Amino acid sequence: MSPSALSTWLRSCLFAAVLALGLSLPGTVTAQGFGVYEQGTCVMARAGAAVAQGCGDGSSIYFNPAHIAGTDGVTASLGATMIDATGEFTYDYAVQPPYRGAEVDLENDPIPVPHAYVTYGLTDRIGLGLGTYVPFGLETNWPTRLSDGRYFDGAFEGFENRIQSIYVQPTVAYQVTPTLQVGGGPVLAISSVELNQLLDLSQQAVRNPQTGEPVPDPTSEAPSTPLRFSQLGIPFHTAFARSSLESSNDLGIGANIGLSYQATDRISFGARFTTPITVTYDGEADFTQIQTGLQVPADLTLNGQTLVPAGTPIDGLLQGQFSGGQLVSQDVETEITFPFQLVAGVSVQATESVLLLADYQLTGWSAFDEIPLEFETLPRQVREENYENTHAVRLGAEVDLSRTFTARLGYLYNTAAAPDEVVTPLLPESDRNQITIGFGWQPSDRTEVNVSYQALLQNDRRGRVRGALPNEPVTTDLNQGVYGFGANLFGTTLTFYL
Amino acid sequence: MTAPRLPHSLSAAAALLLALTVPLLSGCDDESLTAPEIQADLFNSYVALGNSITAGFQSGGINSQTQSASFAVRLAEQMQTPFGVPELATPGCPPPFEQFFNESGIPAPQRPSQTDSTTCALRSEQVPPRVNNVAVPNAEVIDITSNDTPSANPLTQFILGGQTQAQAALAANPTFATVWIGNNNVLGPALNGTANVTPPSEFGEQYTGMLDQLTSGGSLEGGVLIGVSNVAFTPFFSPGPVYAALEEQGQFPPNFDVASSCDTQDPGTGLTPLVPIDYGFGLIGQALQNPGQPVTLDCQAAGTPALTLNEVSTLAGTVQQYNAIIQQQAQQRGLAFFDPNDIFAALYTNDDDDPDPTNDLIPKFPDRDSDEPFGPFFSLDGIHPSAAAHRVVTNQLIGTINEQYGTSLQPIEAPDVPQAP
Repeated sequence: MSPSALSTWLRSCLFAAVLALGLSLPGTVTAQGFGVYEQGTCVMARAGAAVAQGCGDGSSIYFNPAHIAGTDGVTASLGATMIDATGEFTYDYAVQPPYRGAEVDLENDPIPVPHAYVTYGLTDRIGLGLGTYVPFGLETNWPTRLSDGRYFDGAFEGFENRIQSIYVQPTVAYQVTPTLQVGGGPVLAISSVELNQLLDLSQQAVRNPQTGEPVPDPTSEAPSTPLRFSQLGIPFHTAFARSSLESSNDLGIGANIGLSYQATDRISFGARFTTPITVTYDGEADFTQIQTGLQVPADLTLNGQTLVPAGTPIDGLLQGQFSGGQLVSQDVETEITFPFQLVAGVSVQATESVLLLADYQLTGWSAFDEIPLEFETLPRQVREENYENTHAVRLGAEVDLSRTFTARLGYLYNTAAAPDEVVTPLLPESDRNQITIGFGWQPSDRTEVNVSYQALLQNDRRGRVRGALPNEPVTTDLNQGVYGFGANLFGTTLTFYL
Repeated sequence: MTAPRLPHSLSAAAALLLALTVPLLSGCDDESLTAPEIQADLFNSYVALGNSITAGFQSGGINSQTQSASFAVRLAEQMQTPFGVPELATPGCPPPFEQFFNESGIPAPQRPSQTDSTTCALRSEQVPPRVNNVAVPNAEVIDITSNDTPSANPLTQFILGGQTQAQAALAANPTFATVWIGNNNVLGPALNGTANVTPPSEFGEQYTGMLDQLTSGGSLEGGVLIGVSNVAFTPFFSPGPVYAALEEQGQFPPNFDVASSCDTQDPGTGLTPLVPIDYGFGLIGQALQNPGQPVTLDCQAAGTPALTLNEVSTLAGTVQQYNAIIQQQAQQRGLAFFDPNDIFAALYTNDDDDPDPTNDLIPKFPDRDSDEPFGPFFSLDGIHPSAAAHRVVTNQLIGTINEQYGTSLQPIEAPDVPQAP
């Protein structure tokens, strides 16, 4: 490596890393679960089919690190995918228009998801690289109120939810034989999470205003059973607080490895495995009281003495919870495992100008079984997710239209990670069909511009906007309506061959 | 990149495009994931507004068992639509009577041990995501749209949680509603021995305003407005002539006298003075306790709980005016109307050729030796319909709904009742 080339490569690496870390932009869901597969515009135009043959723009650091072997000089790519997602939840009772407030729209703004890669051909057989990309990201913004002013049920499950995980991956690849390449590298995951939701007063325990201890349920034979506000007639989903759980820049470690085998002049095979990465988050939970204006309907007595007289404002009873009780700002710890990805594929050079690709992907979403929340003061909570492993088939085609223009097409089908009973506002996903189209233009030997478009067509799916009540099983009986979701994705990547 | 061979490349691209888009023909909707079917779209969300009857109040109390017997619950079952009930925990709030008469035949309502009329076991721990039965005991028409009224009570919050009935109903985005309200506008004065009822014009304004608010949500597609019941058909009130006849038969203590003012009947309407059971039996008790002191039941005396013939006529006339208003509103709004007095009159006037007033379908005088002193169609307080009556009402409403909306709700098992006169 010449000093100037090394200097250029290092500068490019630094630039790419800073870009990814500085633009800590949240992603949104376009692949299974909350995966985001659009980590390079060229590959995006092929519907993500790239494990057997990469695009040569450095994105192989993610799609198959083995393809870094044998590259020439320095290649630097910088790009982003703009994801414009739309969605809605339609209550069952709104099957016929024009019921007001029955359809609730997702309020996501278009979200840019950046990627940056730099590769360097150290020798004829060894390639180096550094990439940053966002393979997992989730953002769902739901309104807290319906058009008629009532609270949206789904806001009690979550109304501003963000999960992102930026992967930074140094890579080395080796040409083992003229037909066999292997590559891989460690992955540093830099992740953030934010969950906002309304808290339901009906599920809260009534507390003794003098001691702060839960008031026992006078109707229960078990003395430790607390009296809940629902037993005072407080309706389900009565908002009394807004909670915000946030944690930023927590780290996890994993790896991404791949191999590629050229079976004939026209046919190649490839495979990639990205390990699961578990990130433990140390964040903060904040709670803001919402006034209910409600009163206690009847005297609450304990051991024959009036504990809370009828007419007592409930907001006053709750106030202590926010100033010195369980709902003060506090530390919270949680853990999320980003799943493994196993991809295998084939590419066929059908003609001199036509390349066909097909990938199969298995993603280990069963690792995302729950979101545990360990609070400093509040009792432990667990949000059951019970995701299932997913399968995807990606079909892509690339046609060289001229020396400088290339057209690409693709089709992708993937199954859903969320089981029928866990289709929630957090991730209202379903099986998806996606079609892609894109163009590459190489105006000079040193530059290339790729643009692509992807239409995400998600099947409508029944889902729920509330969690299970105490002693209520989480089943599809909780589903109250239908989620619709779709997205338009626009990708652009600029690549320099130095 | 390779050298251009455009025509060949384009044809290949077209073939590829075709191949890649064929899978899309698999469709994008999964019909198996659509909403569960209910009896008809009309019943997507059914709400019931009203008073103690709709709420399921029986025998002077209410709990989850009595609530589940409400006609509204039965109707929702036939509609196969989810129906959230604000369940009150056992023994109740207050607990229902276990018996009305003591061993001496004196009214002495007994609730479960260690409970009384102030006992409230609070709401059940199970909270429905939506409350569909928003009816509140003691509610009058004005209470549908306001909780700041004299008739609001602790059950108002226990059931509605700070909302009004109309607000709670709208929260369920109702497509169908039953509204049975107005009974307490008549019953309350009647129980106080007066005919000082809400003037019909005021009743009409309140009723119209209530319906305006209920329909403001825009989701309501149908419903039934149920008329106000005539208090004369409740066995809590006994006709004055029945007291006179029983006195004549020597059924009362010798020092208990029934004035001739009780033994009267309007020849045109058949109406008579009415004696509330607590008042009549209170006087009988006085006579028993003071054998040497004459005690007289006077159905014309002012200031007593007994309803004079004029008062009964006024109440009956007012009920007719109320129901005319309700029926008119139903017609104007394309809703169905059901007059409960048709069925209660049939039960009340059923002639069994038996002069004993205690064994009528609706007894004119309570059968103190029976487990059902007020008959099979009224609960142990003599005012609120029994579970059997709720079943009868359910089938009457099903017939009304099917006729109005062309639906096919199936009737439920219910006692046979005589045809309306």
